[in-house]
Amino acid sequence: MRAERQERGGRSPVGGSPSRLVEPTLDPGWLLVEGGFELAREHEVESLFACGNGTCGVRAALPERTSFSEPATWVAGVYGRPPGVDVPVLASLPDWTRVAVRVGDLDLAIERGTPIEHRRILDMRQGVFFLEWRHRDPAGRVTRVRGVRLASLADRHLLYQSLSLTPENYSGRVRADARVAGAPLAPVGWAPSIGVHEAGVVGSRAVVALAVADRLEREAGAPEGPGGWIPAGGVVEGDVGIESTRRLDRLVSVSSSREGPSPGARASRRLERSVREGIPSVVAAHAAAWAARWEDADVEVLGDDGATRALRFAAYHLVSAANPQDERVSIPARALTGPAYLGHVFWDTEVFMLPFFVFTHPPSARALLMYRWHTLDAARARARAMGYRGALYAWESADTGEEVTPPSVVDPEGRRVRIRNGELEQHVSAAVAFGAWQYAQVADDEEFLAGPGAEILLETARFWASRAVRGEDGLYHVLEAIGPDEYHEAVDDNAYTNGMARWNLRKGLEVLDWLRGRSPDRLGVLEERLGLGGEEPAAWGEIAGAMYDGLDPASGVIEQFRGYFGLEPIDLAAHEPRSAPMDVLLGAERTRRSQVIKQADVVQLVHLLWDELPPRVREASFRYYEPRCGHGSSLSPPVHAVVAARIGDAELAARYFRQTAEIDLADNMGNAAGGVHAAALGGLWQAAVMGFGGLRATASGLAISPRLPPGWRRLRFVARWRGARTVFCIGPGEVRVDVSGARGLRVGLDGGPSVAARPGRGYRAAAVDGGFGAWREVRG
Amino acid sequence: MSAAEERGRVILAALDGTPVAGAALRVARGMADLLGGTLHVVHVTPGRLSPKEVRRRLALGDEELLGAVIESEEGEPAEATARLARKARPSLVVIGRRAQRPPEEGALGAMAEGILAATAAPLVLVPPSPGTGPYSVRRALLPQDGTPAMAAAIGPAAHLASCAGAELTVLYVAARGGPPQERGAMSAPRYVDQPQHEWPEWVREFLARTACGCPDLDPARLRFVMAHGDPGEEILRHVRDLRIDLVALGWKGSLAPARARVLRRVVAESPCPVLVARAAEEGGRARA
Repeated sequence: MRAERQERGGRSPVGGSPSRLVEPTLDPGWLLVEGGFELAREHEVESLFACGNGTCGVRAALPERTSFSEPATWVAGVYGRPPGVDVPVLASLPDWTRVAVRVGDLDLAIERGTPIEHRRILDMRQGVFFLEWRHRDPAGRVTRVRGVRLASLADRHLLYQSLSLTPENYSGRVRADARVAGAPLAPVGWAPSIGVHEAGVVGSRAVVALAVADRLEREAGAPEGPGGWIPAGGVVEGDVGIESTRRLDRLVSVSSSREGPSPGARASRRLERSVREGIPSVVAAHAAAWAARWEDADVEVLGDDGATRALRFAAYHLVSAANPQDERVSIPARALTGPAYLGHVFWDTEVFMLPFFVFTHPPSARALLMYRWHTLDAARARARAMGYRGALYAWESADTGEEVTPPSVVDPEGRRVRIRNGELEQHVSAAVAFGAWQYAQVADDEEFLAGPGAEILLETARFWASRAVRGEDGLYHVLEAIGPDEYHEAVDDNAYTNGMARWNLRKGLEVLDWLRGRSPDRLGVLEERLGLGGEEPAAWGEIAGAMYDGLDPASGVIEQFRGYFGLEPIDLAAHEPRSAPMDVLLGAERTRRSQVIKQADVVQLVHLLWDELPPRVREASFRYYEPRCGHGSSLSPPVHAVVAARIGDAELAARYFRQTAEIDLADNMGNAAGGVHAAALGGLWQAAVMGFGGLRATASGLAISPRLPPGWRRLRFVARWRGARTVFCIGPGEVRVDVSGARGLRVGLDGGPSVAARPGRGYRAAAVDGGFGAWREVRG
Repeated sequence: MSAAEERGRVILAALDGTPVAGAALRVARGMADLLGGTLHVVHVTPGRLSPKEVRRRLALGDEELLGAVIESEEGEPAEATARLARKARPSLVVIGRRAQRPPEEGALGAMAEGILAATAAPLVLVPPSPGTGPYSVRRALLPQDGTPAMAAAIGPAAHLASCAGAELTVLYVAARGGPPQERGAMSAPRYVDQPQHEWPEWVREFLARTACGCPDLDPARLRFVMAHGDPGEEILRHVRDLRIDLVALGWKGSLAPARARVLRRVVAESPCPVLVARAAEEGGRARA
């Protein structure tokens, strides 16, 4: 992805330009720019430059379309079942972004004629997609086109697009056909400028609806029709003179049957309000909402502009994917940016994305966890169906929380392969519990912990208690499971699964104790409802204490699963460079018999349970598994970056950080065509903040353990902890924290003392002899 | 009508009078029939010959040359054929591939290299024994490395196969080496987070990219096969296993010793005709 320096004459976020109401941010560090046009890259660009607000995600398909466009507006939480597909598929809206422009007798199309200039800009700061295009058509006419698209972060049901057109060397008849899904809109009686389109979702009783209002702006401030709004229909036509501009603005309000009956009427009413407010207000509110989110979401790296841009790209897509106002949806693996993974939700959300929200926007984190609470019944039913107690979350989840993992796949070599993840990859339950606990601790959300959080933690603990079996060795074992390393299926005592199960059981007990002290009444109600009492919780401590851990005391290495150490070693370095995953190169069977692992497994455990493992075990395990990992999953490099940084190998961590950043942003792999890798994006944030910054939550506040990679002169990020907002600025020579918000906190620093930081104050600790000296309060 | 349409489609068969010329003529005629074009047979000798003399030298009968335009060029064969190819701007040039070739003739042979250097027309190299009876394309193999340039290069083969109603198989060989550096390239997925989602999506995207910009290719009708190992070996294996009768390879314009190894191997060993189309060094599609 190219970063181009923008030379512009001043920023006007909301102004009266005839070509557009908003201009790109001046600072190129906030811009992702796709200069030029390469047809084969269209699907990737559409994903990378997508706009979203947690309710909708709009792919960045060019308004005029190409022969390779794949436009879509995904609707969070609405799923259908298209013919021939056995599992739910995320629904999309009727196509509302297409504007077919005809100049004279020719369609304006980038593939016909000569593009003189073509540039797409994703302005991450403002959450706006821009199009800039100058085109010479086959008749020699040069047309300037400028486009804007956004999904409002201020009103999450609102979408906006504008397209302006300026003839540079001709005057003539221009027709713009912007009909929704190619069909006329039904006008709404009480507001004739608003048209409505309702569509049933295939294979479902769900209905999605959009209300549309179009406005035509002419140069010299003489808009067509009352207030510029034109009758619903979607087709405008007229003569345009040389260097005269016409701009077609479109506001869209979205609703679905998830919100109740009559989604079309609901969308119309909402849109009417927005129409009254006017488009400049809509755009201004959206930009302000993004500005507010960036206050906490931005991570800046002085000395590495590429890292800053990659981190902003990550935060942009994470913010775009979550909706703090809707606790019935979660973030799919490819967010709301592409068709891959069908909108299914994985453990990716809780383990990889959630920390970003926990520390920067707790309401979003809470909503994501509430999705898991609302789907708890399905998790209980699943556990029951498999002969267990408690709650077993689906490996792949959609609207109801039922298991929706496809049972098989035909691989590209033509073989049908059974997919066992839906049956055996059960660590997702511990991941949900981990997320719930982490959120409750950092946000201090007692209401959540005493209610939905406790229920999640108790039901998942209960599952593990029924899942583990006591062996003849007196220890408890989880048999026949799949850990994060999916190259090895149906293994016994996967270290990650066992370790997280043990953690889950202990946290179940901890939450029971906490409830007993804090709210015995609520505990009583909960125990009665869950039928939890007697000896059952007492057994959890015993199971956790005797859980098989696979630790080799001599080396300090945790064996990934029983028998792993005896598998065939493979020198992965001898297979580099490569672009294919190792199981393709070695074949599935040989991979299964080898020590090659797909992704961080023990290393993932080290990352999540850092404080529970001795330093020797952390480092020995990382050093052992790192050369054995083929990184066949996009979830793997960021975890290696985090752990490498935390054990002090900043150079290795920097390599994994770059690898993570390139998963979506490299322009020669085609990885992102089906959507951005949301987990890797969350992982990138973790690599910077929790890896290089070493951020972790403690009982009394936050602690950091800075390990900046070569070239990073300063790392700045924000983390929230129980009402305290802390800005960290980490440089090679000193660390500075500035605290604001409702309360103070204790800030710890590895290699130095901690400080009781008060709101409204700043503190600085200078680097001394490989550690840090005392904190000093600073003014200003 | 465009100038090209006015000229009509020309399929140029450069025949040298050796036994392989018969095979080349058969394939060239089959391709001319598929494309609805005119077959031009060119024979290069030190002095210009009459059409009748050309026919005699090539030992071909009226029936074999029915409807063909006979051309005689004088000079050195590779240079003269290239000159004619430049002038005639054919849709395809067809030549025979000798079983044994002197090493001094270069990677593909002087004739092939001369033609490829002189014209943008795809070159079809016909092996000595590509079967008997009228030639048609029933099963075509389109090896692709995931770069836009290679995808763009298969247009002529796709058109040919489309005219023949042939079954098209796109082959991708995951081999050693990092991803292609070309912008817009798509290699085997480095990350297969969940195979049940990743593989169908990757195949869909790979075929869509292969077909994009090539109106004769319908991605829904393409068959896809992925293999791993040595690309030349795998292409040849699939040619045999799938009973392929036309392989289409893109060629990025260099025949330096370290380059075009796959092309050289496939041309040398393929039991069926190999269509070589020039690919742009980087990017083969519209760009601003």
